[in-house]
Amino acid sequence: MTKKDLFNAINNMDEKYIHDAQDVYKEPQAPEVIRISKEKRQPYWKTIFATAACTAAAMFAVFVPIVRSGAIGFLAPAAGNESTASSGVVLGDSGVSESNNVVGSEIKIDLDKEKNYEVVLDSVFAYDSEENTFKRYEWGDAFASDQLLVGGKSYFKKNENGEWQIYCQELALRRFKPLELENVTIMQIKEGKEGTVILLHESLSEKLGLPNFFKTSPNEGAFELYTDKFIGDKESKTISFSSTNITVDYDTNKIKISSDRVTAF
Amino acid sequence: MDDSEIIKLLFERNERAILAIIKKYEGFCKAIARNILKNEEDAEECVNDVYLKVWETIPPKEPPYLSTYLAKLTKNHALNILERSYAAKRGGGAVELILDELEECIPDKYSVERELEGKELESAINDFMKTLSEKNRLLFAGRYWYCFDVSELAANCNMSENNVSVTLNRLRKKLRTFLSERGFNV
Repeated sequence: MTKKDLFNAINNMDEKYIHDAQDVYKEPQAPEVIRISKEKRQPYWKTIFATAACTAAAMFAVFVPIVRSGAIGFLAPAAGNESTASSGVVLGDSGVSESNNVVGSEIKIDLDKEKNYEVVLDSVFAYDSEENTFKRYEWGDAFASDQLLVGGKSYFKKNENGEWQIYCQELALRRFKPLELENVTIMQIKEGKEGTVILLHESLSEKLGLPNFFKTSPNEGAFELYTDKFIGDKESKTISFSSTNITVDYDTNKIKISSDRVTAF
Repeated sequence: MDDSEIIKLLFERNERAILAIIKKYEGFCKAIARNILKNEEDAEECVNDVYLKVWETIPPKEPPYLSTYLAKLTKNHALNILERSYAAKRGGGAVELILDELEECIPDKYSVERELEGKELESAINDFMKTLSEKNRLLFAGRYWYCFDVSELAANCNMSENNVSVTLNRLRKKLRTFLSERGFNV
């Protein structure tokens, strides 16, 4: 008996042992989500007083997320200056005035577990560089000339000193018009009796976080596939795309990729 | 989505099944592929091939456990990729080809004996698994079937790495004794 024989024998062990042992794989744990709503907001502002650093994002403006009542906010950077986007996070009892650029220096939030958290926000203050002022935006408000604000999150984790820090913020914008990505390649479209197999170019499938192939039903027209994975320019840490639609046009053998959602970090 | 619903969609030839598999099992399959191939890109390719194999094999197959079926497909495909990779490094698979050709010279009796021994060995492994506690079965299969690192096993089983290493060492010795007692030449 060789080690390969033994390896093969183990490989062919009874399926029930293989099935039972799936517990050895654990999905990477997603951060716990805290939704700051009017009803549940109060308990989160009790005990821990943590200083946090914030990374504001810039696209057409600098964003400053806050809770709707003004109980939490982020120190705003100098107007229109992206290089000063890192700053402190604050909690103020008196709320945040829309006219104030600086909203404080600390956040009071009940994060008493050794976990990561997401805080889902109700609305944001965003700096409008064109009008040189901060404005409150709620989800559904129009932003810039072709977008809507549709959501926002902040992510917290403990630093080496045991303090809670915001390490990432997201704001979601929905464009009125789909954004099209050009110059994409289909490796091959094979048509057969049982359907159509579409092989995507490796670089494209990697970019979209999708498998290299799709198979459709026979005689099916153009179809759409969806992915929620981020694509886009991750290097710049500015904008990523999600909720991507892929449409295949069988008449021209072309693939159209569009994204109706843009997330700014 | 339940596994039974996914299998139903596969039987209906609905590509949503593949998207559901990706959503539910991509991490699991990729972990298995990564354990064997130790390369993110190869693991990605392996898992993509597995989706195609699932599409091609279900139907007619209707596996009782979809997750286990995926695990087996992934592992076997990853091993094939690894073997191809080794073969390429040894000179485009030329040595493997010669070995395959020489294998034809080996009398049939030998391969039959070998196959029988293989079946007996599989049976012995299953008997050995029966003798283990639930936790030890998990560790043994986790290490020698799923090929997880000791550190990953330790993290996922809430044990220290040292504890996992010691337990696996004892299990190997136990298996050696078990196989020797059944007349296997180890």
